Amino acid sequence: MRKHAKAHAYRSSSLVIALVGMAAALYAMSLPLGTFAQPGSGLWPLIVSIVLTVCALLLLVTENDPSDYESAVARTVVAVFGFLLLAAFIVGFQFVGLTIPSLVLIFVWLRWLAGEPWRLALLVSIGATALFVTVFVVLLSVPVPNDPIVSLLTGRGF
Amino acid sequence: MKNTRRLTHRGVAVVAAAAAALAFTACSPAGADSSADAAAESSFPEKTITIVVPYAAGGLTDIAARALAAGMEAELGQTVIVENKEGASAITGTTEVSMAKPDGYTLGFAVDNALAQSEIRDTAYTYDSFVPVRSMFTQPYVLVAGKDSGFTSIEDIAAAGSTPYGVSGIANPQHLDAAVLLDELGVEGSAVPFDGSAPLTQALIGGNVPFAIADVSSVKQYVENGDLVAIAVLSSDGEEIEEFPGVPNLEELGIDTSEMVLPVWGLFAPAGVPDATLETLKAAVDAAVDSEGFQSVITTNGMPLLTGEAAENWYEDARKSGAIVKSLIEKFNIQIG
Amino acid sequence: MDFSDVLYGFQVALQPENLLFALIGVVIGMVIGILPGLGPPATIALMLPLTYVIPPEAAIIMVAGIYYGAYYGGTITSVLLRLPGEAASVVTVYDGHQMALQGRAGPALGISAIGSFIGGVAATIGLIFFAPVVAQFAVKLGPPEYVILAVAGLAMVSSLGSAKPLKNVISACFGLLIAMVGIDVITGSSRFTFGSFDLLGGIDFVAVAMGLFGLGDILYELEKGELGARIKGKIGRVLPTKQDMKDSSGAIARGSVIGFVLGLLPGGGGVVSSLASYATEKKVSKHPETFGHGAIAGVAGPETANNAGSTASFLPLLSLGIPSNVVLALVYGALLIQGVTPGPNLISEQPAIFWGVLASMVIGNLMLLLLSIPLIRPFIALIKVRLSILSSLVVVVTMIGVYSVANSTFDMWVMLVFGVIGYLMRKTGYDPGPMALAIVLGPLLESSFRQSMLMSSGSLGIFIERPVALIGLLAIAAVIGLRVVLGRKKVFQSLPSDS
Repeated sequence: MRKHAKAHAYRSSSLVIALVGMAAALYAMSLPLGTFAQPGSGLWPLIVSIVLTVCALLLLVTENDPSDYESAVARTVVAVFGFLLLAAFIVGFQFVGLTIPSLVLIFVWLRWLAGEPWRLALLVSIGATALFVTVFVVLLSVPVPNDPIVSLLTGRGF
Repeated sequence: MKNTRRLTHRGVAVVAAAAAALAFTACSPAGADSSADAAAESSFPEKTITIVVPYAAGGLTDIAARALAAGMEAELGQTVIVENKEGASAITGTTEVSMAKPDGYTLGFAVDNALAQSEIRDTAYTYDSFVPVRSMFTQPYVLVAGKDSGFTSIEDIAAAGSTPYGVSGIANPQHLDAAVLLDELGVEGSAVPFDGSAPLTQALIGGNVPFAIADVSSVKQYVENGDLVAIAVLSSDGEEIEEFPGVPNLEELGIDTSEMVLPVWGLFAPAGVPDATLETLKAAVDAAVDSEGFQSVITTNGMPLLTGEAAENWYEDARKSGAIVKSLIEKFNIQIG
Repeated sequence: MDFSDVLYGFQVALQPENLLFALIGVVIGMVIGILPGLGPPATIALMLPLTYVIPPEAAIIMVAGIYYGAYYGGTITSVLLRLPGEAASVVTVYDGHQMALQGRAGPALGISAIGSFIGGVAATIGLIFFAPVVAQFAVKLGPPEYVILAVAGLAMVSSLGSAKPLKNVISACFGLLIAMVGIDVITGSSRFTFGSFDLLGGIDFVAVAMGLFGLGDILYELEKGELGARIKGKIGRVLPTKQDMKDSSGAIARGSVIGFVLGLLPGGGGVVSSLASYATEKKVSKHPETFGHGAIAGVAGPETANNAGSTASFLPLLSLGIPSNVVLALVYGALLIQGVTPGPNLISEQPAIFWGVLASMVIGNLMLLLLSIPLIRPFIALIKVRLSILSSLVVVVTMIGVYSVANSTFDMWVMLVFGVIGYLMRKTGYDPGPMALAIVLGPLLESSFRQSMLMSSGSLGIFIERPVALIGLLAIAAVIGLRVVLGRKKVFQSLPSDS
């Protein structure tokens, strides 16, 4: 029984998509649908969600070869770690600007995600961050939120 | 051992002095604030001033703002930049201004419809979130039709039982005015919305919609070369306008224009800006408005400055416009979610 | 018009000052195109104050240079890093990147430059000869025609990539739904925003593309453990071979025409041109199975088409004074600042501007070509860098780039979310291309459809009554019909050998 279930595990994604499609269709119906002469804001979302759901259900039933699908492996942890690191970057960016999060992200990425030696990681992170700050903040004047290093450098003080 | 104690004594002395200084400033907050404020005001501006334009770069509001900024820069000797923050019917940029520090360094330049949005949608700001700095200009509207549309006069429109018409945005002043007009003429109209005045103009020329109420600057040259026909104009004084000599004003044609709204542009700041700062700003803005650059922009594009009472009371008038907009939307049941 | 006008135009364009501005524009455009996030609109907006002080011809020439320089920059990242700079570059990702992986990045970039040049010149010639006639025709096109255009575009996305067609449809549907987040243009009400102010502005294409193609791809590769250089060994030829040129010649010729025609349609321009060219090339190719695996025609055609398209899109602005997209609206604004009002009279009142700009497009395209050839080698050196190092830099650059579009950290979160989605898509056999393209085509389709319905008071007949729309509809029906019939034939032919 378990073997049977495992063999069909790949269908779960089609199922999830079908469910998402149905949820979208329900949401669309809560919006004014209008008529063909006066289309409301919900009409188009409804049409698309229905098409989506139908296709997903079709796929669920007719897709018979699982070769497209890959399951989670040991290294999936690396990908998850990568995402978490990026999330931390964004949060850090909001509070301390570009320089520090960039340094940290690149260093950690190179050292732990990519397994590079720490000297290289350090060098690249410093070099790259310097480049990015110069190009984006100084040259292109992208208004980065309160970056202490940049403020120091541009003389605006802490 | 002895050294440390001496240091500690010194340390205590320093801390005490610091504490005393802090206490001194904290003790009289009003006094401290006002002296700090006065210092800030008398030296305003000390850094870059930003004028937020809640529309895309290149549009009428944007180029007027840029001309103004250039003039203000010359007056104040400080950099004045324009920042475009378009989106969501100008709500995005206007919200940003409302949330900025009221120190005079962030200003907003927009048409009053941006403020009117607070009446019809759930915005983070209201009319009370801002303090007006100065009125700018207005722009008359013109009712135009495509040359092959079959409409050449107001009677033609009145004769149509039902007709589609173009609008450059849902529930904007042009749309509402057209709805009021058609209602008065007893014509059933259905508005075909376009994303701005350029696509609307194109649709008019190409004959995809028969007529629309449009800004003068978007359609002037097409009326001049015959692609479009100007049927009537709508202006704040009920008269003809010089861009279209001979074209009657809607009021002259007997249409009741009391419920029709015209756009008014103005410069405003977040509420709470100190009075002295406002005075400095107003002086600079007045000078900038008189500057050649600004004058040429508004003359070329047919945007007459507000004068007299209209200029004085523009913010109050904007409030009233907002209320009218709200009531018209309800009256015509325009869906804006 | 007579040739003296055209010569006059070249005279204007070849003035040292204007040449300089063309060069500056092209270089800035290329750099901007490479940096994710900062697109032509933002850059041109940044440059607007500069246009105050330079003469109007120089201003437009520079802006035009930025415009197609940026397209080429987008091609560079598509080919080398599988990162589409903008919607029109998405199609290039498929075969361009494959070519890079096969050590043929040089020919891919080279043929893009050459094709873009030819497409741009062809379109400029088209404009010079046909401008007035075409302009009158183009202005009549309206919402019903755009519906047909968008439908055709969406139908063509299924020819992209190698995922199962049903999955492409699902991917496209998701893209359509994502495009609906925000304010509904027609009614002004909000959809799928769940009360969030950030979502009210809609979901930005750049954030989605960077997430789906950039982050998703990188994390998938990291999981796979493939941390080495994307291509090992020698780089191979830097320029296209004679054979490459032969293989691409048809694609370039067809791409020029397709791009010119579609570029005249406001809003159509780059995306649909590149899609149409790709679909056409795949259809007429003697080896359609190579598409998606490094067929050079799959790069040459779309690149030519989108440059021809972006050049042609200047027409409504130059001859009627109506800008057909955001970038051109900025050009319009820049001219207004100068006191020049683009319109039907531009050609007679300001011939220097009209003809000078057209001539400068030829020169600008040439500059692009000449500049890009020597730069190909250093660019390719980029992908010899280990993926482990390259990936860390790419993620930071794309993050900042996405932020810079609207100075919004929300967009960074969007990119991250789509990075997860892109990763999951790769794990489950879905192609992100249709989703990305649907985000661009969806709004066009929906708003045009609803506008058409309002114009006709609900009658679907409007699509049949208007000649252009009818032709388009018949063409689509013919293509689909042919596919069905041929497909049946194949099935019948293969049956006997199966049994």
